[in-house]
Amino acid sequence: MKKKWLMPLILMTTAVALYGCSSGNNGQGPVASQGGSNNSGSESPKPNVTLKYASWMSKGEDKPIIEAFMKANPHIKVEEEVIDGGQYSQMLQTRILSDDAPDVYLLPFNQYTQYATEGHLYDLSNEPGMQLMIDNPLVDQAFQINGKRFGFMVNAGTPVSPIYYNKKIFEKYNLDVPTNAEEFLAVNQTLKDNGVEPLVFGAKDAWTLSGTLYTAIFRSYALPKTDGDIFYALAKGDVKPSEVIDYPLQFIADLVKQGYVSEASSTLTYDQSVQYFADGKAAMLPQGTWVPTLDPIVNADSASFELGAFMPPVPRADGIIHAMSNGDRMLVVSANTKHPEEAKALFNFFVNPDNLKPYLEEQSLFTVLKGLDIQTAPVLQDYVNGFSADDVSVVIGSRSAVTPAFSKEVDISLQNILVGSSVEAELKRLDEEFGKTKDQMVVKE
Amino acid sequence: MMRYRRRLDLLYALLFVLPALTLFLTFKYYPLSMTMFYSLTNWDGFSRSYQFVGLDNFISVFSDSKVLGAFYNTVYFAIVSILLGTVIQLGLALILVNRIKGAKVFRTVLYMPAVISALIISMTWIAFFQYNGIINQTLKLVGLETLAHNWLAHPIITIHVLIVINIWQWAGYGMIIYITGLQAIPTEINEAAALDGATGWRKLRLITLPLIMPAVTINMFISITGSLRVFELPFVLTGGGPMNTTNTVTMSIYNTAFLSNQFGYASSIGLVFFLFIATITLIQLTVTRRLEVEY
Repeated sequence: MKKKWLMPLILMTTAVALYGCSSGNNGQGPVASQGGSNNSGSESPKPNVTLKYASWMSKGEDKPIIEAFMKANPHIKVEEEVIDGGQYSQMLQTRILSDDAPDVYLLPFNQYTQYATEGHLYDLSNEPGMQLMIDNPLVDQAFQINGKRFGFMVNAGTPVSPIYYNKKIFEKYNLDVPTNAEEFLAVNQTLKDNGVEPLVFGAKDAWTLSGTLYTAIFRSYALPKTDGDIFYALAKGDVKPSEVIDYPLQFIADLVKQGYVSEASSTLTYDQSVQYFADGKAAMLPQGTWVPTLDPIVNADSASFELGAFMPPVPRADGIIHAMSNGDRMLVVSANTKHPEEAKALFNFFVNPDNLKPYLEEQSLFTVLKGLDIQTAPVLQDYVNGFSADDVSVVIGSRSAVTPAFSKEVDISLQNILVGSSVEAELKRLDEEFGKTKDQMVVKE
Repeated sequence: MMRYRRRLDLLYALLFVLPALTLFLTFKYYPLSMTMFYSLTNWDGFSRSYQFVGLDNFISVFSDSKVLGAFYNTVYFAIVSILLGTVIQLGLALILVNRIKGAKVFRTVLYMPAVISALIISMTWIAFFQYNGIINQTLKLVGLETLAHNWLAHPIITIHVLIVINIWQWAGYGMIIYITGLQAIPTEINEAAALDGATGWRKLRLITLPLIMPAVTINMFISITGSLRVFELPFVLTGGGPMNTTNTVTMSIYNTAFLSNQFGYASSIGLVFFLFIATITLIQLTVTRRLEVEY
């Protein structure tokens, strides 16, 4: 009697199990991906895969796009690793050395050429996600290495980072937005005379000093002296660092000497400097385009704070402002990934215009890619429009990049200037330090 | 039978030693031998190829202004930390070795920083020493604004701030070792000294110090190696600045290897510094051991 029931029971169980594993998934097993990678109903279910994704986005900036990807591709789990921005290059390097590179990661532009040349990056030339860059030939050309494409320029560093100001303070002292260096210095002096700290940086995180006002002035000053490619000229030995860094360093040193830079700057972190500015303790903050979206700015007391932005006082050559836009965040795939198809799926999902556009807009990031139609934060509208003016010349990318070691030395020089070191001593030191790692600069002919 | 037994004993002994030996060989001697190997190359720490450069890296160490500057900073940090630290540790031990009320609580409280990670300690102290941090705010509050400084960005003051934090962190640790040494002194020696009229400084110099020399030997050894290898404190608090005044040798090694991509050169700096620390500690052990007395 028992045996009579046993056979139908086994058959039923087998049938149910087979149905559960079929393409008609009812939520019990892995499902076909949607959007990220196509999978027809007749294909066998995809095995579960875990990808590692690394970036220096410490405030969860990448989380929405990663979560959306996982939702669209339930068989792919993405483990997000946030590495401190200050140590990102070193940490990434040690990971690659120990054969533990993340599958997909954001790469700072100055390491892109080196990593691609040394074979650490996956060739993404034929990926559909690359189309947006291909549609922008100038950008595409700038990021090709030996005719291949190894990364996508998620966002571009702004050609000239803005200086934010507190409109309420400017109104109180009847100040107009400065349009050149003389007016800028005059504004600083007025603020100082009235007991207001004019400028604040978060110089404990040195990039807040080197990546904003200094870079803007440096590029505008150095580009005309180097035929539009500073780093190539440096790599080739056509110019010494001291010949192109002298003016921007002197400009910052003068600001410090005149007492226009808040003394707190040297020990404030980036986050603290934004809070300092939002609290009305300083009138101006040189920073990136993402500032309008930051919590301290959004939540600032509207009675004493209103955000404004203007173009920094960069030097002109023959009436032209020379500027340069580099990749800021490059999205790449590791050449050693064990899951190339899934890693490419994440890459393509990330750079898909439908996903990339909100990603950039939510963070108020800048791009030079035409076709994305990014809505700029209202406070930056005039500033961004300024780049299409006739007197602004923007070059994209460079055929070389200074080493992270030299970038760090520039950071140190600026930090030293902030605490009173002389420009001469720093220029001498920078020339010496540049010589130590110059041979590591990768040049794209 | 005896020979078999002895062989079995030897086998057992080897089996017991094997795990420790494997760990030592894998995690100590193998990396050390690789460091020695790389110090003779120009390996960038990244690419698969490198060239042998002989002793070039070692020659460069002695003419590199950055390394020499870091060496000076490290030695200065170590000397001041050890001298002041020893005085404070010993002073605390002499007070808290007595059966005074709350001695155990004080000992525990003073020892606590030693068990906290240097990284966390550094992060905590940032809040105090920043320009707009707790110390300057307090000074302003009590009308002593003129005493406010940029503690972490002053070419002269900053290294001393690091020294103070370092001394504070290890005060309790050294104190416990000294207390152990003081408690090991037989009571009859102290009583005899008291009967002979030895008190205060005279008793400390002639009786106590010679008798706690084993504790001094251990403490000095730990202090010297610890302070010469200082890394987290300047790394977190100052990043080696301002003007490289807090850049230490260990930071220099780290930056040379992982920032400048000169792994071979960084290995040679490490080896030279290793030899320096070994020499100093050897001298220290010889001297302090010689000062130890038997009782």
